[in-house]
Formats: sequence, structure tokens, C-alpha cells
Amino acid sequence: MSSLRLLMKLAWRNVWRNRRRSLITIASVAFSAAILVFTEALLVGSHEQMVLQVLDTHGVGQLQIHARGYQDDPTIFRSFVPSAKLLRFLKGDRELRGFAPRVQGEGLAEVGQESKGVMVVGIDPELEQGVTPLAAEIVTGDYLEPNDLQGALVGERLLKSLKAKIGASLALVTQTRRGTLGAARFQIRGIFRTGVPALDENLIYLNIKSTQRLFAFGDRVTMLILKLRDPTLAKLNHLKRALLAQVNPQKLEVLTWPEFMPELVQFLRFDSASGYVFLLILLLVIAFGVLNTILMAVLERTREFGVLLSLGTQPRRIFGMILLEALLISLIGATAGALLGSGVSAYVVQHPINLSGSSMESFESWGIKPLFYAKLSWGIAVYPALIVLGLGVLIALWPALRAARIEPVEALHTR
Amino acid sequence: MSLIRTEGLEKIYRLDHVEVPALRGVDLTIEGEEFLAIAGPSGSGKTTLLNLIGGLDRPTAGQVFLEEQEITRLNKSRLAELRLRKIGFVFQAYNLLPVLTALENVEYVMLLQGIAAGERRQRALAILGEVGLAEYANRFPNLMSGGQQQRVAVARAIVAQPKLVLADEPTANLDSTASSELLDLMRQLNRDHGVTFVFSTHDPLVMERAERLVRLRDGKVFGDE
Ligand SMILES: Nc1ncnc2c1ncn2[C@@H]1O[C@H](COP(=O)(O)OP(=O)(O)OP(=O)(O)O)[C@@H](O)[C@H]1O
Ligand SMILES: [Mg+2]
Repeated sequence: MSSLRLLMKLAWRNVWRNRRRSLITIASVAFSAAILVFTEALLVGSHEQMVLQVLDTHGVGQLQIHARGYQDDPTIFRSFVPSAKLLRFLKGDRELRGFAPRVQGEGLAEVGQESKGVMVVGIDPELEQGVTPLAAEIVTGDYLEPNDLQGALVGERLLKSLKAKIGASLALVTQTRRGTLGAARFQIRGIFRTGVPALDENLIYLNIKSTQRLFAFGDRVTMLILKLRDPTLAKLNHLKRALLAQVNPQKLEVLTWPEFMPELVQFLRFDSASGYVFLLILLLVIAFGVLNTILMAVLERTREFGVLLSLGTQPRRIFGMILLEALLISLIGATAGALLGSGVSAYVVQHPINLSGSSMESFESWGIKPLFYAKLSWGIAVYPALIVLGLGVLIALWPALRAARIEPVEALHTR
Repeated sequence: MSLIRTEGLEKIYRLDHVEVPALRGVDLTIEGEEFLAIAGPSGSGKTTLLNLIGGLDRPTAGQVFLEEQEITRLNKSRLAELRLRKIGFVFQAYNLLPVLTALENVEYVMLLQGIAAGERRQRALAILGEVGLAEYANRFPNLMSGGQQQRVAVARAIVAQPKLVLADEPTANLDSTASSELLDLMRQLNRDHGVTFVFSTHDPLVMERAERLVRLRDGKVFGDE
């Protein structure tokens, strides 16, 4: 038996000499580790779901190809003709669930006496279905038929402010990319509701061919939007690199969703930060409790340290012994907590928590269902537990230092 | 060469601006293999003197020499090393580590010294035999009587073959039979192992058993027989 094993044995038995107190400490460590793991699982899981939902309801795809500069200056003056080579590449990519062209520009909509500034979006009705859930968002009337060049889909709120009805005639006036005036009449075929107010009161969907005419685009498009089968960031970035090899980067830009929706990234960061603040407070409270028990355990053994010192034990060995005791307690607690937290998370992965009806407006304004999803991975289970473990040992530094600094005479004097 | 020599040893405790002189100039020489009792009334400075000799505390003035090496200026770590190699301690009570068995308590010091497992176990068992506790080897201290615990403490103090064992009122918590037995044991070990024993007491029966008796009063030596 080496002296390390002796230290281990001493520490182990010391942990269990006050079984009740140690168990309470271990339980609180386990509790905090479990909360940490579970919260992290919820944050990551919910954010992943949230992103996919937001991208869907906003109908923006997960990856976009624009004319260079469009992201910073989104006007009709930046457009491009997708090359046959690019379209072939997109059709052949097995990772893609779908891709769809878009023509987008501002216009003025008139129905009877009412008029309103709108965003006109031209879509390919068939390809669009592979990328956005627009067809499923129609609440009244019908989705656009592929060859219907007269039809228009209008947002629910926009319909109201135009005081229009389904079937009504709608005039659109635009500025073309040549600077001339564009105008055409359409018929309202369907009404959609995405749940995002800004979209439902501003968007009008037309067939892409009509829209190209309206803006004098010819075969040009504003963007291509793409959707992956397995939309992880790694896969998105991989596809982005592959696309950049296909196109002329001087003319086109390829953006993943964090790039074309930076405000969503901000929102997620803010949401994580508030979650982490809560966890930090929890950790501090628990840390204080653990500090208290370890300190008590040290103080009530003062005389024993006196005996150890008189036998010739080096103070640093006493320091090590206390740290080891804290490590044991934290290790048991963190392991139990990681298991517990992962278990609960695994359940929620299967059964998302439904929070509809509570104060979730901030989520609903993004068009997100108030469901809480969880995600579990090795990292999510292990890193929070490691943090708790590290914290447990860190906390013990001070009591351990106190124990190591005890004067033998004073220690022997106690009790 | 003397084993222990103190020169003008003084210790003053300071308690909230009140100075309590515990030792006021002790000159004492102890030779190897002595069996020496330090006697004196309560508060006369017995514990203080033993602590200074054992390097557990530092004097206010004066020096302690162990085998002519001055120990009063060594740092904590060197003092611990010195105690480990050369000095064994027995206190009045609560000597043993409660989480270790009798055998492990005895082995502990040898572990610190880095003695190999086989030899350690063998020597620990042998010394437990010598103090008459062979069959208590695997007991924890709380299941042993006060006298048995003190015997284990003596076994632990001696097992690492120190030059000197310092025992501060080792019999104070024992009845007269157990006291007598412990003294017999210490005397036996003193003879068999040639280890110097210095113990404090205010029990006249214990003083009688000493080979040499140093009397303290008010922090000064006032008798040496
Ligand atoms: N840590 C301390 N702080 C302050 N004063 C102390 C301390 N230790 C001892 N003293 C004082 O020093 C003097 C000598 O004490 P010491 O313990 O050496 O005597 P003793 O002979 O061992 O007594 P006893 O027989 O009661 O054990 C006493 O007056 C005591 O009150
Ligand atoms: Mg005393």
C-alpha cells in the first residue's frame, strides 16, 4: 500500500464517519449536477427545435444563395441568374431535402379603396413545398396551382387591413429593376397564417414567373433557399463550402442561417445567458452549503490533525487528505447527478414538455410552439457534471488550507 | 553526546495582552535510554516543556538540542520530518485515529516512513503482541478500553524505532491497575528497545516508578533526583 492509497483509505473512511452529513452533501451535489445537466439538455434541445421552427415559419430555408452583397443591402438591384451547373448540383445533392428560387421586392397593394405597402415574394409553388411549410399554412382558400399566374396568397392580417375577401381582385404596383413602374392585377386565392405578425401583415406570395415580370427580372432570382435533411450546423457549413466551390464567389454569396438571421443567434444567446445566470445562482447557493459542511468536518477534527502532525505527518498531506475527501464527495455526487439528469433528459427527449397557455409570448412572437425539447449527448451529460466536480474541489481548498495551517499545540489543546 | 539538552528555555503565552509565563528558564539534559518522569502541580509547565522538546511548539527564548542539533529554528516541514524519524508521542487521551484499526494506527507512522508493506505489517503485529493486544489488531479504537487504547498509542510511538518517546500524562485517564500495567509496559520497552521515555505526571505512584524524577514548579526545575 503506497502512501497515496493510505491517503485514499483515510479520506474514504473519513467521508463515511458522519454518514448522514456526507449523504446530505452528496445529495446536494448530485441535485445541482442533475439540474445542470437537465437545464443544458433543455437549452440545447429547445434551441435546436426553435431554430428549425423559426426558419420554417419565416419561410427562409436553412441556407441561402444570393447575389453578392444582398445580405447587407437587400434590394431588387441585387439579383442573379442561377447557372445550369448550380441547378444540376443542387438537384443531385442527396443531403438536400429541397431547394426553391425566390424573387422578392417591395410594392404597393390595392384592393378597392384600401392600399398598403407590402413585400412581394415570388415562388415556384412546387419547389417551395420542399423547403417551407407555406402550403400547410393556408387557412382559407387554396395554395397556388403550378400554372396559376394570376393567383396571390395574402397574409391574414394584411387581408384585414386591406378589408379584402378571398377571391377579391388585388392590384400591385412596383418599381422594376430598370427603374420603370410595374403593375399587374391578381386574384386572392388563399389566406395564410404563419403566426409571425410581421409576416402575416406584410407578405404577398405570387407565382415566380408573374413576379419576374412585375420586377422586369427576366430569368433572374433574388435568392435560392435550401433545406437539408439533417440540418446540423456542421452539415450546413459543409454544404456551404461545397457550394462555394460551384459558384463564382465574386458574384454570389452563400449564407447559413446564423449568417442570414443574426438576430436569431442573438436571441438564443440571450436565452442561454439567462438560463446560465439562474444556474450560476443555484451553484453558488449549493457551493456555500458544501463549503459549510466541509468546514464543519474540518473544525470538529482539529484535535485529530494535532495527533497526525505530532506523528510527523506533513501539513501538505493533511491538505491533500481534505481535498481528497471533497473530491470523493463531489465525484459520487456529480456521477449520481449526471445519471439522474441524463435520465430525466432522456425522458423529455421522448416526451417534450408542453407549456402552452403560460407566459410564453416572447417565444410565440417568433412563431415557436411552446414545447420544450431536450437533447442528450455525452457532452451535455458530462461537462456540467465536471463543472460541479471541479467546483466541489475548489470549494474545499480553503478548509483544506485551514486544516494544513493548524498549529499542532493548539490542535492538541482542543476538546 | 546527550539526547536532549535545553538551554534557558522560556515560554510566555500571550492571552489578550496578559502574559502567562509557562516556563522561565529550564536547563535540562537527558541522556539516551533514560526513563524519566517530569512531575509538578497543575500549571507548572509540564505539557509546555514536552511540547517544546518534541518540536510541536516554539520557545519564546532559549534553545532545544536533539542529539546536539538545534531544533527550535527548523520550519514546520522539517520539524514534522524530525518527529517522524526520531520522536514518538503519547497523549493523555484520544491518541488514535478513529477511522483506523489498532493495526492500521500502528502501521501509519511506518507508512509515512515509506517502509514496505510486508515488513510494516510484520512489525506492527509484533509490537501489538508485545503490548499484549495481538487479538485486537483489527479493532477500531472506539471498541477498546482506555488502557488498551493507551497501549496501542505506546505501540505506535515505539514501532518506528524513535530515539525518544514523549508521553504527556499517559496514565491520567486510567485507573490504578491500568496505570500500573502501562508503566510496566513502558519500562519493558525502555529496556528492550533502548528507547528514552520522558513522561509527565502528578500521580505519586507513577513518580515512584521513574528512574529519574524532574520536578517543575512555576515553570522552573526545582528538583532532580
Ligand atoms: N495555549 C495556551 N495559552 C495560554 N496559556 C497557556 C497555554 N497553554 C498553557 N498555558 C498556561 O501555561 C502554564 C503552564 O501550562 P502547562 O499546560 O504547561 O502546565 P501543566 O504542568 O501541563 O499543567 P497540567 O498538569 O494541568 O496539565 C499554565 O499557567 C497554563 O494556563
Ligand atoms: Mg499538562
